[in-house]
Amino acid sequence: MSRLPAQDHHWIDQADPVRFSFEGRNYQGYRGDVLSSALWAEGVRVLGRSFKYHRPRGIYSLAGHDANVIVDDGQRTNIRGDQLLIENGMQLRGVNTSGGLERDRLRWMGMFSRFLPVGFYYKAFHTPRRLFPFFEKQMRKVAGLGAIHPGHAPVASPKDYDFCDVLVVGSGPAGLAAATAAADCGLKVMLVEEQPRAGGSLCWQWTADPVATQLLSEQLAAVQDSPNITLRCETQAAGCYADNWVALVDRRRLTKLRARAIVLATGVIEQPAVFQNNDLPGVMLASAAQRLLHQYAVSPCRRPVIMTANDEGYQLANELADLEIPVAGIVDLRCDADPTTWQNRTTENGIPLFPAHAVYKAHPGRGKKSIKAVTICRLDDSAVPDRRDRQHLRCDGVLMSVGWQPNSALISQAGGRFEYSDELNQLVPSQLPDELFVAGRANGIYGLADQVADGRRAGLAAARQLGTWHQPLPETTLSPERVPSHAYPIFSHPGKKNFVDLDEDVHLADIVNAHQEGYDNVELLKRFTTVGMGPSQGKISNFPAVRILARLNNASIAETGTTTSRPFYQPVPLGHLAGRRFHANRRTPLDQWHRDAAAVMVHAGAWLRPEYYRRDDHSRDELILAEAQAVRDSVGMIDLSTLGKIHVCGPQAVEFLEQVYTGRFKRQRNGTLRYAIALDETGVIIEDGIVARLADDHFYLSATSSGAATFYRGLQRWAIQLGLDVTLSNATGQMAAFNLAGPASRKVLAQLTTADISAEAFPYLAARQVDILDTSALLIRVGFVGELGYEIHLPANQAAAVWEELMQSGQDQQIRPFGVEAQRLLRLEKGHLIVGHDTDALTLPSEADVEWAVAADKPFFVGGRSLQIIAQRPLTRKLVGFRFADQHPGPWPEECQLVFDGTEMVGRITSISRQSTLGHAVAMGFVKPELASAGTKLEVRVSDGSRVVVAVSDLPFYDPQNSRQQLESD
Amino acid sequence: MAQTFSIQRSPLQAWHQARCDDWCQLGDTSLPRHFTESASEMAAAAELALCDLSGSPLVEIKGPSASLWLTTHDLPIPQKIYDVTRLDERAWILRTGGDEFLLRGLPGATIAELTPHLPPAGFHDRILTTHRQDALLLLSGSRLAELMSQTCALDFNQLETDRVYLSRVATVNCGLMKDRLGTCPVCWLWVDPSYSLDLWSQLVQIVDELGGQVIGAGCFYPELG
Repeated sequence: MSRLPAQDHHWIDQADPVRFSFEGRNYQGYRGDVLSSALWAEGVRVLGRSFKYHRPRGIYSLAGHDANVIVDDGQRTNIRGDQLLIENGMQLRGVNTSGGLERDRLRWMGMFSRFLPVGFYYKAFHTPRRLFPFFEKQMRKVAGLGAIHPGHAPVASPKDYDFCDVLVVGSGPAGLAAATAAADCGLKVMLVEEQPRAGGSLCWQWTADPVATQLLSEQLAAVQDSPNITLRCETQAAGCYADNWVALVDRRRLTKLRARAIVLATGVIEQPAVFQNNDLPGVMLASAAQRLLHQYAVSPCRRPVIMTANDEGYQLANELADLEIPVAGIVDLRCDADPTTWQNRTTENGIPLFPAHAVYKAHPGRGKKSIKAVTICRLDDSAVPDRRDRQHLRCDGVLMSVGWQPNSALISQAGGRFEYSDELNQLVPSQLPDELFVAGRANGIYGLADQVADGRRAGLAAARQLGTWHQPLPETTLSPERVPSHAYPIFSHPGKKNFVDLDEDVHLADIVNAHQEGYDNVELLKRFTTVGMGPSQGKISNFPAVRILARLNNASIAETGTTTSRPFYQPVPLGHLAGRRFHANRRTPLDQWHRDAAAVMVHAGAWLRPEYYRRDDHSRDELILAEAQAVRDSVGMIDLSTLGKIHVCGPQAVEFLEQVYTGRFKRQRNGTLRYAIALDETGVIIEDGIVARLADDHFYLSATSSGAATFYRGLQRWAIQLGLDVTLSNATGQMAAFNLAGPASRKVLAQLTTADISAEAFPYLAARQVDILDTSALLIRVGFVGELGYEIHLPANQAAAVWEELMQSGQDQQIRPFGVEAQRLLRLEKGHLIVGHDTDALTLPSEADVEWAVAADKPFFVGGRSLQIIAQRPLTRKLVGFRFADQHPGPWPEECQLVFDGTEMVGRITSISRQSTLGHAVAMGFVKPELASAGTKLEVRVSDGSRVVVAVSDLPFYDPQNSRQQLESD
Repeated sequence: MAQTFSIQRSPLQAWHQARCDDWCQLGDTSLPRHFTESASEMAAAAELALCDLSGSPLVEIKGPSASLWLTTHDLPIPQKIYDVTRLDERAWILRTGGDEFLLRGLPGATIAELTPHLPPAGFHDRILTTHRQDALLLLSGSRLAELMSQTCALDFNQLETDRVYLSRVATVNCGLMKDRLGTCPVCWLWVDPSYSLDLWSQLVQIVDELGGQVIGAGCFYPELG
């Protein structure tokens, strides 16, 4: 056990044990422990396995800056152990293993590392070709992290919006100061902190400093007491987008925050040193060790070596000494560091110092699950380890404190730019957008008092930007007394296990080799080596890689550049992005009636429509045919409320329609309707429907259910562009519509209206207002399904009552509701096309056999000029009918399957029904014009590769004389 | 005695029918009076509640002569697009475009009562008059902003009253208007009837999670028969 005595500032409650299991074994931690800290306290050192070589890994940053510890809880996968607060009963396992972390069967992969350098998959395993499927399958098995659990029950996440004047990201000393400064200026402040508690580095780096602890207490009290500040802990700012839109992510949800100004006090990310075996359990960042000590009361090691290039390493050494944890030595990379207070104390504590030395190699313990010693070397004048001057130090851990880089992701995303400071050996912000402010160590400021002052400055600067602070801003210093970061803590080793990127197992030689192959640009290097492309997104690997590349190119850091940071800062569960999974369907006013009538509903664009109605034990096909037959024999009714319905009114309505449609409307009489098609500017069919003239200056249009919204927008655009005096209104959702169709439809309707709907008074293609029950409705005689039929268009709020009455009054005619499948069959029998189904994004009127609806001699209509051009070219396809041999046993083609003439592909099927009221299968599709004559025999290739013989047929299949739909007598 | 319903129906009628047996008549539309005890619903109305008031008259007047028509009949024209002018206690005029207006009657009114000069439905004298079928929902209570924060990108606390906002609530295009009924903060929300059931269902779920309630029209209009 490595647990230390409880202290007030710890984040755990040692009076509240928590029991959980990891890799099948039971452990105990305390309330407030994260998985990594609880396991480390229990002496567990292997917390994960690396991606490629499956090397054992332990704690590294304990801040979410690495991806060593990734676990699965049986429901969720890829959970970060450094940030997972343990709960009683949790059952967790590591990901990316075969047989568990301890006995991972893939741990031998490291032995073949020489065959698996970066980019190996570009060069190997694709020959011999016959083996490629095998290689691919094996690689897929070992690639990836985590497994999706098919039985996982998704939980809706309450995604929400929020707003504030100033968003402050980071609650360290600078962030707390910025928040209170802005709030004191009357601004509404949102302060977010990724960790479970506010305080930032004050919670782990300064706990031994009474001034710092007092500061933390005062700052937290100021935040809590301010009514203008909302503090959200365990919340990451996952991404910064245009116009100060920031995605905040916590355990439950994603918040879409809009801020008027943003202060980023995101601090710095500690950077590792690169040496042989710098990835093994026991090697960690000094800040991780301090988090273990001061947040979780866990000793990081029994006897560490500290590798440092700054004061923080000495500070850590003294903290360990104060806790009676012996330090094997401090290995200082610097040759010329002046003694500081911290260094003097380490000397007093009797800790051996090794200035101008580096850790050259960490020696693995048994199974590489720990380290047992390090070899340190003196650095020569070129700062290269001199192997002739080396020493062996016995230890079980290496704590690295060699430098920092700003936590820059959000700054970059928000439009900030950086420059490299040679004084600090780190990037610092150089240009920021007007509403973006940076404070604290992210700004290159390291002294505690300086950080607080800089935070206050940033908060006041935000307030000045927003107009609530009008005085000069306080000055802050940007240069620390001492350089916090080493310029090049990277050391070569022939063993090639000195890792630059732990996520992707990229070591130093990989980068050198990639450079030699020509990947000498930071973007190319990243993509070829995958450095920075793992789950931790390069937080501790990007900058070391930049340093290496700069040295290889003999260039400066500025010349080398960095890669682009993009959201998300940390992984975000897909469930958070899905939120509540809002997906609103459109429903007709008869929706409940259909469900009560056992309709099987189907999505038709945004709408839900009845596909067919279930009855008894009949099959789907039987019911669809029965519904269609009912229409042919007597009467059926379909809910057409999904149809687009558009009013076009005004003194120039006729001119407008003449220009947006292909047909003519000038001479259309009031009370009649016409079929119309609309084209786009390339001459392609985009819509069809009816145009009913209700008055001289008032037309009522229909459009397809799925295309209505787009068509209406197009009409609006054309109205503006053509500059015509028209008024448009989209009544699609406001009106319901039914089609009452069949030879008995007139009889049924006549019972509910006093209007004269006789054949003489209400001929085919008539349209007029009538009263049905007490409702004023637009009645249209139309024949999409090929029978005597009436479309009834009426206000949506009265539709249900009228539908119910029609169904009631049609009982003695055996009226039957029919769904979209029966309607599709009926119209297919009539050879009526469906735009978007029998037409595609290139179909011309001439191909779809609707040239009769095109008044080509009009001076202008949309698409007309294109048709003139196209008319000079030969036709390439025509829409025709297809028939099958009588008694064709199958198999049956499906829509979109190809039509062949011998070996030549000559067309495709667009619509097909195996059954029809005619007693045989019917289909439509495209063929080459020269093959479009009735009787031409062709073949359709079906799913199993076999061919079905079809014969081209004239259209329509049913009632070619159209006598049924123009039924003049009952 | 079985409940009989008027020929005009709220698009949410089926949802209500499965949950309510206390109905009232709001203008020409039958609506739930109360789902549970009125005292509990009144309390919910003050904190967080959702109420269907569909059937309230909504007439769209649009066209080149729409503004002239308003002026000719001594009706005030909202100055800017999205402004709202109250006619009296029973109606508002909302401006949704240069030549587009909505005459909104408050629950209980009929179309005929909006103004004696209303043009007939259809296109006359260069005005297209449409009797809209939008569902009208009333969101109420002191915690209204919590509901809106989960469904709408607008900063509800910053919205002005007497102003129309066209936005999306739970992905559905809606018109919104912030208001007060007495001391109770409310938001009127109108939506195409074809989307209303899915929107309503989503709002009900969130209201329920937040501890609110669906209430009947009787909470706000106890005088309804």
